[in-house]
Amino acid sequence: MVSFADILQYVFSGITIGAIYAMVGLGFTMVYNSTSIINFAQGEFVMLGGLLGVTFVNGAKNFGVPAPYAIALRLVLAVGTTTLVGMLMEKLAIEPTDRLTTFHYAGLAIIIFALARILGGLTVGPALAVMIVLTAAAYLLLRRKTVESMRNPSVLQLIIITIALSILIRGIAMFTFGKDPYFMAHFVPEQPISIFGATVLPQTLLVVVAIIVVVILVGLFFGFTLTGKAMKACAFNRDIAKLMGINDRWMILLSFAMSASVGAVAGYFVTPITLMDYDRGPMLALKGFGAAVLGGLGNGYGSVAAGFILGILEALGTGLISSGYKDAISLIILLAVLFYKPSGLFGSAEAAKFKEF
Amino acid sequence: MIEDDETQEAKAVNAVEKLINKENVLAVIGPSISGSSLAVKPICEKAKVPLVSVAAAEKIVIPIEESIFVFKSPQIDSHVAVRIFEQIKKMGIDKIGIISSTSAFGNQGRMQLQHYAKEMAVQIVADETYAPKDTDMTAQLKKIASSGAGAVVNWSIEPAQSLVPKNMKQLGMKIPLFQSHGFGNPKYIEAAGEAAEGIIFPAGRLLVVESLPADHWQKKVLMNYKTEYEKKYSPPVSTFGGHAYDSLWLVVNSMKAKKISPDMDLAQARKLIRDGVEETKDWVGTAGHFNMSPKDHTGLDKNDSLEMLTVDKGGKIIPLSQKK
Repeated sequence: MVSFADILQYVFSGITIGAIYAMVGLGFTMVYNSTSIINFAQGEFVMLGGLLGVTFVNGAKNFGVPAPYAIALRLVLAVGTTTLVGMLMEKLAIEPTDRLTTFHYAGLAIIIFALARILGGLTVGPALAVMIVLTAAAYLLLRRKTVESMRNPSVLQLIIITIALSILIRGIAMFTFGKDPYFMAHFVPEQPISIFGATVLPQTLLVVVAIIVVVILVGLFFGFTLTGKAMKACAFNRDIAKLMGINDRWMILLSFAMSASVGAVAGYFVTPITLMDYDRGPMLALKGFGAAVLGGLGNGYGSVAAGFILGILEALGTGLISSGYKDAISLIILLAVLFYKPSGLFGSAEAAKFKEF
Repeated sequence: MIEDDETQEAKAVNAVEKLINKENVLAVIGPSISGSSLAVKPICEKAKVPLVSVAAAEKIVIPIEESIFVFKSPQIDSHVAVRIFEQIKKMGIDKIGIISSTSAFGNQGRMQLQHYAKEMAVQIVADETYAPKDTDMTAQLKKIASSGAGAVVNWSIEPAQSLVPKNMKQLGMKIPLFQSHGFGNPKYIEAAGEAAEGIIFPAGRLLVVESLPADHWQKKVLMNYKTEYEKKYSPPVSTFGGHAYDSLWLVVNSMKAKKISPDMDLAQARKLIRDGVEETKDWVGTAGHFNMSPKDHTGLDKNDSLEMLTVDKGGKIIPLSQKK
């Protein structure tokens, strides 16, 4: 017989699982809202936040930083580094589909130089010569090409680029961190809190608090700052936003930075509960994407709520039906909702008509 | 030649096709997981290339008529299941809950547990699973706790298995936890932290080589492997690396015995290596004594190759018999 304590425990389990989906879903929303892109490297941001967090934990220990500061310092460092990765990703892979700037040619030059030195085995002088010749050739070739054929890539092309990048980031993470799972001490005492016979970890509550803080900050940013409103304008119509004097490339860069930092915050807070390894990204991205779609793509609050709903459904499915079918149960419900209401639980059907994707 | 299958079955198939058809290898060692090994088995059988798998599932080498060229060096899962049940009976437990990963390793283990439960007169009162990338198993474990099970058996090889003891601790479950030999990686024990204390699992003796008496028959082989390994690599030894070592030496020994030379016909050399591995007798590897035969392509004995281990205070692994 299933008791009340059992059900309550399933709900708590669902909150633990759902909190991660909610954070990943929120990250998806952020990039989607200013670019209409689904950034499938979102799961990788979570993974990086967690793994970098662990790395900085060991670093902080070595440098003798006192514990309470260390938690905050690590958070800033892990999130900062991941944000940088997100921005680089946009600069090096998304922006070149639109335009090529001095920045890209400089990056290209460095790569050619490195390849000439490492693979070609050239000394500094000849390597520099090769670099100048090839970069100049690339400039002459691509200058016209970018204008003519690469301009205005479709959203689908950009999404495929993000999938490629997620594989690249995962590969680099595998070589940097190895394949073993990483773990981190809980930020708060590990003693579970017992409520009506069901238990929940204090760290889980901390994750929920982190989500609430992030949601409030993001809400304030989009609702009350000029930059936030400009970002929203870019999502509605890039061309008109540009005509209004909004620097669209800057807005897109910012959205990638923000989604990377939201992902990293999620990774940093959940790693003590879930452990983290280089390969976690794709599964998190899939579930987080499910949450974002269920909540109505582009609706931040919706995707957070949907993340928790998916998590709780999964846990209840496990507890009351069968753990073998838990993913199937949550996916069937996701499909059923989308069948009935394609714009998602909290999405508006009118707004969906104007969406490119 | 080394190929990385990234523990994905499709990539393992591609890699083995490449090794056999492009690189013309004499024998293949690996893959390291059961799913991939089962996936590449028919390829090696068809091409008549010896495959010495580093994965556990017994199905890799049965039925023997379909495994002429296929061998494996890790302990087989049915032995592990039987050893776990023997220990469970010894502790006077007759009802258990099982929780396993949905990967091939976990699934094969689950089937072995179900198969031997009847024979050993142990009742499985809850049978739960989790996906290899899952992040929380409290729901499954709560179900087991409410089912009246006297012990939990967790069968998995992925990092996620470290969450099971942690989640049990969170739920305040006091019943003993048994793990499969897939737990034989000190990293997993480290990841489970304090919650790992008291876990019982059968595994090769590599993890407890220091606790073995000096005159133990396996001590020298294990000590050698451990010293050589730790000279070269920084992570601590796990039983998994030992299996690869065993597989490699099974092939090398066979090549030496059959005097394989570079000018030999490829098909003939492959056949000879296969015969050589099958003729291995009384060879001590990290997993135990290997006694291959045309009927047995693992060649390990359940008591010889597995030791019941437990995690003591401070995360130290010791033989269960030495626990105070």
